Parts: sequence; C-alpha cells; structure tokens
Amino acid sequence: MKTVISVLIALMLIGFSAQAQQGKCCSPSSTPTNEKTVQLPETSIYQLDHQWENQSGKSIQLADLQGNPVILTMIFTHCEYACPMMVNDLKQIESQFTDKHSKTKFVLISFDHERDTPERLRDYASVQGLGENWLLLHGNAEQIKEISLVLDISYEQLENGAFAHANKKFVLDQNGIILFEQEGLQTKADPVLKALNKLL
Amino acid sequence: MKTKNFLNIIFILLLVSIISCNQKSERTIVDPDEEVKGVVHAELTDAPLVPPRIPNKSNTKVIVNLEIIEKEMRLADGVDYTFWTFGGSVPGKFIRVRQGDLVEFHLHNHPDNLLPHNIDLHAVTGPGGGAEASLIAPGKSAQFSFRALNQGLYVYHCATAPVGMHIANGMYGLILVEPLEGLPPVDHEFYVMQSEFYTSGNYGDRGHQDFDMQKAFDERPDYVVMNGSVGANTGENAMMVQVGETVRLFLGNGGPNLVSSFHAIGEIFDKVYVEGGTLINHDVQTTLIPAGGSAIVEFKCEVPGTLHLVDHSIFRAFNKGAIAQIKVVGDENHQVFTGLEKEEVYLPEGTAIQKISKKTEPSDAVMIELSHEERMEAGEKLYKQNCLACHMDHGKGIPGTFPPLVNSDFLQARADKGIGIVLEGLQGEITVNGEKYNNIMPAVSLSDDQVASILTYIHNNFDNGGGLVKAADVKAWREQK
Amino acid sequence: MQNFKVILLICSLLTGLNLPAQENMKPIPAGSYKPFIKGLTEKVAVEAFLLDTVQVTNQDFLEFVKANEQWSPDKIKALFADSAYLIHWPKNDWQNESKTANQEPVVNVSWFAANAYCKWKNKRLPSLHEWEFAALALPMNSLDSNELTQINHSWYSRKNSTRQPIGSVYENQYGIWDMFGLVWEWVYDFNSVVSSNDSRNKEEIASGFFCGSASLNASDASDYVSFIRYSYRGSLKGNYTTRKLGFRCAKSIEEN
Repeated sequence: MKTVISVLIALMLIGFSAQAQQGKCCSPSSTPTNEKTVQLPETSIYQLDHQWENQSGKSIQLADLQGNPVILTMIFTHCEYACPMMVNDLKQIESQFTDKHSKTKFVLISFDHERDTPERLRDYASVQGLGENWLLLHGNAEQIKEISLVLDISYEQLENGAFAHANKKFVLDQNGIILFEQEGLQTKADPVLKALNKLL
Repeated sequence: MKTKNFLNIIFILLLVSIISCNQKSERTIVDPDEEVKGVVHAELTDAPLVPPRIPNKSNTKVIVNLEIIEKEMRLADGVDYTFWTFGGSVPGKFIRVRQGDLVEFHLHNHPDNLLPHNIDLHAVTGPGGGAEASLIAPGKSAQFSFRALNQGLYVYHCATAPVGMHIANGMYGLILVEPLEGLPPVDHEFYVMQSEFYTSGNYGDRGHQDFDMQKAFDERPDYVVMNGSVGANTGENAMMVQVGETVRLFLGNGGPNLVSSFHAIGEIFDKVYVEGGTLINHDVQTTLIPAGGSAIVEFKCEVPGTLHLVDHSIFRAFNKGAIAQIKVVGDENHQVFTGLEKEEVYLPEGTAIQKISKKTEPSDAVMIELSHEERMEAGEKLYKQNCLACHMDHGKGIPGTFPPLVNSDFLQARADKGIGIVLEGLQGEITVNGEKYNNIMPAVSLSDDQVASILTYIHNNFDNGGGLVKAADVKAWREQK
Repeated sequence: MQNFKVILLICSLLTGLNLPAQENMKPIPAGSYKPFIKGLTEKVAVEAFLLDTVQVTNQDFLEFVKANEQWSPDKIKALFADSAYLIHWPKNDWQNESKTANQEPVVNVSWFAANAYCKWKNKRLPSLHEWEFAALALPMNSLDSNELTQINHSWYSRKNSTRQPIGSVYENQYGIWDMFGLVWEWVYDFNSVVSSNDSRNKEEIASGFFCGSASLNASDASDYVSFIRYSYRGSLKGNYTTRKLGFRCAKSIEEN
C-alpha cells in the first residue's frame, strides 16, 4: 500500500510540473539566438535558422550562404510543367555568367518535404545537369511554410501530392536581403543579371 | 474651257476638304518612348469641382496620392450608409493629367479600414488596369506607374472581390487624360457622377442602412443619385453659373448596374464627346453614359433659371434621387425664352369632365405617433417633396392657378383638417381668401404618418391656427369613408 | 477490489494530467465541407480537432511577450513583423498590465507572432480548412442560414473605432465565440490560396501560377462574404499586422 501511495504522489507531482512546462517549446525560428543570425540585418531571410539538408545529405542553415549573392526559388521535383520552365530560366541566367559570378549560388528549396528527400534531390540535380553551385534543399513542413511566407510565395498541396504554387525567383544580397524579385515563367534573364551585377 | 477646268479643280478641292474634315477631334498617338521631363503633384478635387487645366505641356511625371477610407456618411436625409471611398467622398477624387504623362500612382489603405482594396483605372494600359499591382491590406500602401497613352475621360474603380460590392459601396471616380493640345477653354467645368445604392430598407427609411446583396443582383436599386447622395448638388449645393457662360460637364457613371440617359432640363448639349472619347456629336438632348463609362457635354447658358440634370429614366430622377441642379443667374433674355406670355380659358366641345377616382389607399397596419417637433421636421421635408411644386415654398401658391395655403380660410373651415384634400384630391371651383380657383389637385398617396406630418406642418408653418394632426386622425378618416 | 480502486485512481490522475492544455477549447467533430475556392475535389475532409473558444486576448499575449523577449515591440525584427506591431500597446509602458492587459482580442500581430504564441501554448494555428469548417456553424439555437451573412454585413458597416471584448458577438453551435463580427483571424496556411491580386482573373490560369492549380472558381459566386474573407487573406503577408486582425489557436486531438 505504501508503494502505491508513493507512486500516486509521484504521478501527481509529475502532473503539476507538466503544467508549469509551457514556455519551454518553440522551434528555432521564433528564437533566433544563434550566433550566425544575431549579426544579420533585420530584413535578412537568413534569420530563419532552420536546419535544411542539401542534396548531398549535408545539414546546412541559410545563414551559411552569407558572403555571396544567391539566386533562390522554390520548386518540387515531381512538377511537370512550371518547375522545369523555372529551372530552365535559371539556366539561361547561368549561361550568361562570367568569372565574377563564380561564387554565386543557385538555391532551390523544395515544397515537397515527403518526396523530395536528399537522394531524390541529388538524382534530380544530376538529371537536370546542375553543377556544384546549385543547392537543393529539403526541410520539414513547418520550415517550408515559414520560408514561403518570408518570400511571399503562395502554395497549396493538392490531393494527388502535387503543389499549386506561385513562381518567383529572387536575387539575395550577401546578407540574405531580397534585392530583386521576378515573377513568372519563361522570363527574361537580363533584369536578373542587372540586379545581380549590382552586388558584384 | 480653262474656266471650266479651274472650276472643276476648285470643286474637287472642296469635296476633298469636306470629306477629310473629320467629325472627330484630332486624335493623336503618343509615343511611349518619348522622354518624360519634370515632376508635378496632381491636384485632386471632390465633385462637383474639377482641377484646373494643366499648363501647356505633356510628358510630365505626375504623382498621384489617393487614400481609401471606409466611412459612414449621409446618403439621404435621415439615412446613413457606410461608404467605401477613394479620398473620403463618393464619387472619388477627380484626377486630371495630360496625354503622354507618366503617372506615378500611390494608393493608401487607411489602417482603420476593415477591408483590402485596389484600383483599376480604365486609362491604364496594363494588367487589370493597375488592379493586379495594387491589392493592399489595411495600413499598407502600393505604388505603380503607367503612361497615359490615350486621351479621354475614364472611370476608375476598386476591383477587389467581390467587385460588385466594392463598386456598390462607392468606390469609383474619374480620371481625365487631356489630349496633347489640351481641351479648349470654357468658363466652367464640373464633375458629375451618377451611381446607385442598394439598401436593406426602402428609399427614405431612416437610420443606418446596410448593403443589400440580393437587390444588387436583381438590379433593383433603392437610390440612384448624382454625386454620391440625394441632393448632393441641389438647393444650396447647386452648381452656379452666370448667363452667357459656357459650361463643360465631365460625366461618369459608376453603376454598378444601370446605364444613364443623361439630360439637362432646359438645355441642349451643343457638343457631346460620345462616351468620353474623341467622337463628337452636336445638338443632343439626351446622351447615354454606360455603366463604368463616361461622357463629356458642353453648352452655353443663354437664360437664367435652374437647370435640372437628370437621368431621363425618369422615376430614378424624381423618386430615387437622380437629380442635380445648375443655377444660372443673370438677366432674362426674351429672345430665347419668354416665360408664360398669355393664359386663357379653353372650352372644349361638349361638357365631359374627367373624374378622379375616389378610391383611397388602405390605412397603415402600424401607427406611428410622433411629437409636434418631429412632425414639423418630417412635414417640412414631405412638403418639399410633394406640395412645393404647386403651392410653392412660401405657401402662397400661384395667383389664379394654385391656391395659397397661408392663412387659408378654406383649409381652416375644413372639419377634417385637410386630410380629405390630401388623400382624395380636389377639383371644381373653390374660393380661398376671396379668390376663385378652379383646378385639379391630384390625390397624394402617402401613409397616415406622412399625411399627419404634412398637415401639421401646413397648419403651423403657414399660419392656419397651429395644432397637431395625428396619424390616428388620418386612419379614422379613412375608416369612416 | 483494492487493486481495482487503485487502478481507477491512477487512470483518473493520468487523464487529469492532460486537462490544463485544453483550457478554453472545444472539440470540433470530424466532417467535410465544400470549400469556397473550388479545387480538384468538391469536398474537403476535416479531422476532428480542438479550437479555442475565443481569440487570444491582450492579456494572454502580454504574458507571452513577457516570457519571450524577442517578441516584444522593442526587440521584434522586421522580417517577423512590420513597424505597426503591437502599436496599440503604450510605447514605453507596455509591460504595465493595467494599461495593456485587457479582454479584447490582441491585434496588430503578424503570422509569425501568432504562430509563436500558439506553439508556446503547446498548440498551433488552425489550418484554413479547419477554421472555415468551424466557422460554418450557425449561432446557437438558430436555423437561419442567412444569419451569418447578416452578422458579416453589419460588421463591415459598423463604425471603425468600435472595440469589443472577446465573447461579445455570437456563440456558434460548436460553442465557439465570434468567428465573425469581431476581428479577422490568422490561419496557418493563409497563403495557400494561389491567386492573382486582381480578383477578376478567375477564369484564366495566369501564366505565373500553374503546377496543378485548378482554375480558380468560387463554388458560390453569390457568397460575397466569403469573397471578402478570401480577398482579405490574399492581401496579407507573413509579417503584416493590421488593426482588425487577431487569432485563436487549435490543437490536434492525437497530440494528447
């Protein structure tokens, strides 16, 4: 009987302390205390300090991209129409790169956290012929939502697993601030290059 | 022979010049690549005023700042409505630019507003007329620029879903793109925009009214008004002009549903820019303003008097508020209009006399008894709407034609306080204050409450012994018939 | 018999442990509904979930901000909320409960702030479908499907300055207060509506929006109230704050 009572008391104590537990949660995005992010300008999207995986399976944060300009967009690999066009638009931009663009990275963030695993992204990059300066990122649903909000890209998952989404590409400066935004597909490379060249 | 050839040549030249003398004003095309020079801030005005003519230049950058405000204002006497406005009133601000100008548009959505808004300017060549670029949440602003390529008078309006409701709540105005050479000068320019309102109550129902979606779908407006409210530009607020002056009206129709048959009672339009474009028509009595469209009319005021601007779908003018006034002051001109020259008795063959039906309307189900003060206030308004036309606002009538109400022995002798006169009308010879009158007053179809108010006003305001006429008295009169 | 009583006691204690997380929440039963924007399917299924009966108040939010400094009006970053964040709290004295903490719904908060608050409470923002489904319920004891339209229309035309506390407009048949008529509310995936800003392009698939997006037709073109609500969401971005936009939290039932 004594054992039972002490067990009960222990349970009650656990219960009461659980009540006081609230406030200890929160994903990294709402508490940017990370060393890397603390120095960033207020409007830098790199303040989102989620952990992403790239196509090599390496864990990275957006703040790791600091120091060089970035061309960024969101896609998913099972996309049959729009995303191939978007990637093509990006390739058109890349085809006009000169030496000074050697450190500019292309970053593709996937909407599809379930299917676009690092392996899948690696295969996609290979099929598309994307070089070393292309990063394809995989993350969880929450971080995808947050990055989409910061970029103002609306999207919705459909019953068949595909995504309806806006098509936007961004030029980010060395600190992760959006310098230029281009909406649409089969777009002209010139305005993007013009913006990019301002940073170099 | 030579003379004949010469005459032939002259004839051909004349023919060619007549044919090429087009019926339009000069239509110029702007080259969008032409350089833009200089910056001005647009002066915006509220109806019926129009910003001044732009000095002789084009291809200027014009900065327009327009603020969207949702606010409650008067729709008619005793009737309030929450309007959604461009610039604080309905219709929205008038914007005036020149063909070729680069317009830098700043649209602001006041933070106290509840809803997002945007703008579609029919003058814009671009996606959605600017609507795509400008959807803004309350507390935010948007900026976009466009080149005014085409001249003309254009409507602008909000295009946020549900578009019909945003327009129905007052979100429209006009933007004038003057031709490169500018419009010819006139003495006065005014801005008049017609539109409808769909309210949960009926026309005249007092208090705050909400938007009624079903009526809007059914295209059954309660109010059809000029410049955003009943009486916006009538009476004290009428537009003023001198005899001999030329007038140009920039007309718009915000809709959302109806087309306007615009007419000025007492004037003919010397010039009409059809649908606000470059096609000119002359000597027009009534011109159409499409919903979401415009027209420009010009005329010269030759005689003094009040011009009534109406939608000639006439019940809208007299029963829903589609009327505005231009008061022309100055000397009479009897060469143009003399007024009544002669009046005589006319005896047709035979003695057939028209009888007016004695049938009266059934009484109200619910009686409203107002106080003396309330009856006077309501009665004054009802008198203006129903009696003033004949008995005049001074109550003295027209000698020989319409009897006076001022200190009327005829009225004071009536046991029914005049109720029967209002409800049944009156005809045949009567003597009022020693003068004979023989005319026909039609029955006026009003509720017990309204009759009580009118008669209380007449008994008090026109020196007929005062007192209070009650709705119950009117009901009793109906019942004993 | 002794053992049985002990087991019963333990079981009741265990269930009791879960009660605090459900304060002021009511269950919304599973169901399906026809969403306003027609998608590939006609009806959307919604799983049962818990929803806050009222919006988060200034008092609630003050507690959160005091415990999480980075969300205070002094420390907030522009990426997460615009310059009007909590502008209705006294600038230098917002910590003062007597001035700030009241029972009105907290407004002038961004999606990021609302999301962080809900997570702090071990909850989350409701999804768009969850919110829409719960909002369909009529006022308690009502059978008139027009009542919600009336509530909305009179809200649009009310004087702008009116401020009201939570639980003041109507309680619906799920026991949830004021889904309409008090403030607009954040939902987790408000940016899921793929549309152009010009609301008239409903028939076209605008070139920028594709990848499986069904052409955007409203399921009921006479449902003006929904048009207005969806346009409102369409005008928002994640860091926006407005004077009439608040939120409430939800929770999945399995998480217990």
